[in-house]
Amino acid sequence: MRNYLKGFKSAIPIFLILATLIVNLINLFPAIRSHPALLGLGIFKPILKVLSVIPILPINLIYLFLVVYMTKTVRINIISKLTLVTFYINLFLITLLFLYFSHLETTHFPDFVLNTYHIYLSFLRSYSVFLFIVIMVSIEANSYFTSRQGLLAHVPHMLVSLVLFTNIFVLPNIFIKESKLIVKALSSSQTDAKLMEFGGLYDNLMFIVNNTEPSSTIIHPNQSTTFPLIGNQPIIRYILFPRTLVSDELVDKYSNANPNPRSPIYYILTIGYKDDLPVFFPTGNINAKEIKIYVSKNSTLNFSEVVYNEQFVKSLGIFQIGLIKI
Amino acid sequence: MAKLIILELFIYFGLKVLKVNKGRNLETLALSLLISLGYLGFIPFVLNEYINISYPTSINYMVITSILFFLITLLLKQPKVINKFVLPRHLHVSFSQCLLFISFVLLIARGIIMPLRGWDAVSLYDSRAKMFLSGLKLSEMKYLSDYDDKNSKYYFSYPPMTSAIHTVFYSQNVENVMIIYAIFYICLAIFLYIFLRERNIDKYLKVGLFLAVMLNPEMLSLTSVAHTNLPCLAFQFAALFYLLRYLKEKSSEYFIISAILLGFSIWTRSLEPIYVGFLIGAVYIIFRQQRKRLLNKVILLSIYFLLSVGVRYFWSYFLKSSVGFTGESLPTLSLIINRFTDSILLSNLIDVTLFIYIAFDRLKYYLIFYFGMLVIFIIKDKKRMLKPSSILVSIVILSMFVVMVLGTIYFSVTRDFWDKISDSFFRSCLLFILLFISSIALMLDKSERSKYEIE
Repeated sequence: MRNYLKGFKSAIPIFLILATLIVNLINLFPAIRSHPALLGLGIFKPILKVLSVIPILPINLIYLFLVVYMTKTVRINIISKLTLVTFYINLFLITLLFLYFSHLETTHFPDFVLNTYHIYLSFLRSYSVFLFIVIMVSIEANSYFTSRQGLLAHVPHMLVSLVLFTNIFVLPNIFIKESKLIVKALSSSQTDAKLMEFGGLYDNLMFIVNNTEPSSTIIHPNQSTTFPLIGNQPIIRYILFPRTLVSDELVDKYSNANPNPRSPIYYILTIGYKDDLPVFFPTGNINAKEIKIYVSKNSTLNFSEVVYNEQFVKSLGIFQIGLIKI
Repeated sequence: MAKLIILELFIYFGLKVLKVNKGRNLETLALSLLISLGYLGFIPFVLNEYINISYPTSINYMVITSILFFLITLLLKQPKVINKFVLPRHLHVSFSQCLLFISFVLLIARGIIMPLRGWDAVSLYDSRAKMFLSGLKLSEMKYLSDYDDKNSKYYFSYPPMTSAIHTVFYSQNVENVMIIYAIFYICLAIFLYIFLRERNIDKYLKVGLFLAVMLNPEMLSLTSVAHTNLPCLAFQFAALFYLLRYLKEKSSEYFIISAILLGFSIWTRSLEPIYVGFLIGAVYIIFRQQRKRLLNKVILLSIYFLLSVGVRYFWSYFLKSSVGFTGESLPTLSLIINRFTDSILLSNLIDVTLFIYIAFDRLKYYLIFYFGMLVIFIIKDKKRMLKPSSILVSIVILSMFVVMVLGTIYFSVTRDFWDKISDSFFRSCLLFILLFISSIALMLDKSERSKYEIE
């Protein structure tokens, strides 16, 4: 019996190497499961797929218990040291890879990495977290069994470093983004930096401010996915205040309440997109006293006493925004 | 700018003379900053709405009152303290404080450089500030939405704390209002730093816990947008800090400071009743003091409720008197019961659970940390969980969780867009990070164990 146990103990390191290989494969597989290179695996691919369908969590937990048990019984030997070193290298490489890919993702478009490199980023991150946990557990287990300080001296450190480690995935991207914004804010003038997250909205609204009286009334499209910004009254009021703003839907209510308006009334002329097709605002025919079109910073168009309709807008070509005085 | 600095300095020195925080510099600085900002966000608004004093003028009155506050504190205390507070005699600056200081300078610089950002900031908070500055009162803003198809009574969705602060800053020709959010973040960092410094735990762990909060990406992102979450978080954490301090030092001034800070937090965001946890916590603290007379307990608690919840009632009163509605967040009891019976449908509950699960997914490592530690304490040392300070934080955590869950269930039947505000919900849950970390720190603290258990 003793010999049997001894044989079992001596087999543990070999078992550990095998288990390490399998666990790493199982954790890596979900991240690269769509990669074309895996087609060459033939029969192994379905096996790995089955293994990755079985929740990874129990397998990983069993592996962690094995690591702790190994540390307790065998203590540090050359095999466990080597395993740990490979984990370190692996962790470093995978984390670096993840950071590079997530940087690519933010600079290109969502799912860019999946489309180009066939890698699932979220699973790559989970793999990296798993590697980190294995390293932390083996370090803390080792110091626990040698120092006998009690769990409370080890577990908090382990968990807090896990929390800090998971923040690392996001922080570099935030810093890159922020520093780019800071450079942009420093290089552009105070007015250019305003509303920088709303694209060209600030310039468009300033065109309206410069071409209307503060007491005037401005009719804008209803708030919808077609006109998300220019239809959002609180957003455009930020620049257009103190002008009276009226949603297209409530024009009748406004004209009933103000039958003889003293101040001029304008329509905002704008284009929105619904199912990738352009939608013009306003619709229908309007006898305009004056129409002003903002094409670009250096170019505006002026028309007076014209009939506004869809044909008129289409003849304008590309423009930013317009004002129709009625 | 000069007036703002004078106001802050006089409040700082006033607190210093009063020996709040036993005269400790860093803590007094953070407290004076929070009190100055809260003061700027409340009083000018009241003066403008009810006495027609414009924002640029009200700052003068506020500077005068801050000087008066300072002079009164000087009269109350012995003049011999004057030479004590001007300059600290022994200026010990540790390495960690140097690092903190450098990061504060960077944060302030970033606040000066960056323009205003955040969707809600543009449409609501800063928009109101610009209108206040032009002379429009909040009560008059109800007419603005008369011809808006989607956003009726939009300008009344939150109390005007940050809007009023922006207005005061604009009136003093300070255009870079993002600096306000850097200051709030710095105050939060200082309070967390002091809170952790006072705990008797391993120093590497302290650094880890501090960074786990301050380097959280969601927390950091709060400094780049002018939303109300960060100010609210800073006020709430400071309120909790002073409740814990009261528990330890039994000095009523901390209890009152906590109430004022909680009041400011309600004046920033009144929508989520997270303050309920603080109120229950305050009742718990007061009633576990056996030596105090009942009358004293009742008086202290009344002051706490008046200063904190009173603000909530003032806001409802304002809405009712000037706009004619009480705000949908304060429904009648019968309506709540009615709505809840509607909402306890299995399909709805599954939706709500999924929504909360997805929102909390971003907090999962903090949850693992917190609950992992709880399991360890249950196995190893239950007494640590039953320290009064741990119980206080647990009360706040538990009641905040209940409020968030019940609130989501309620919103799931009253608003059709409820499942699209996952981000907003998550931002309101960020206090959990601070609560988890402080709870862990308190439970790990060895020194507090027997000292405060028996009174």
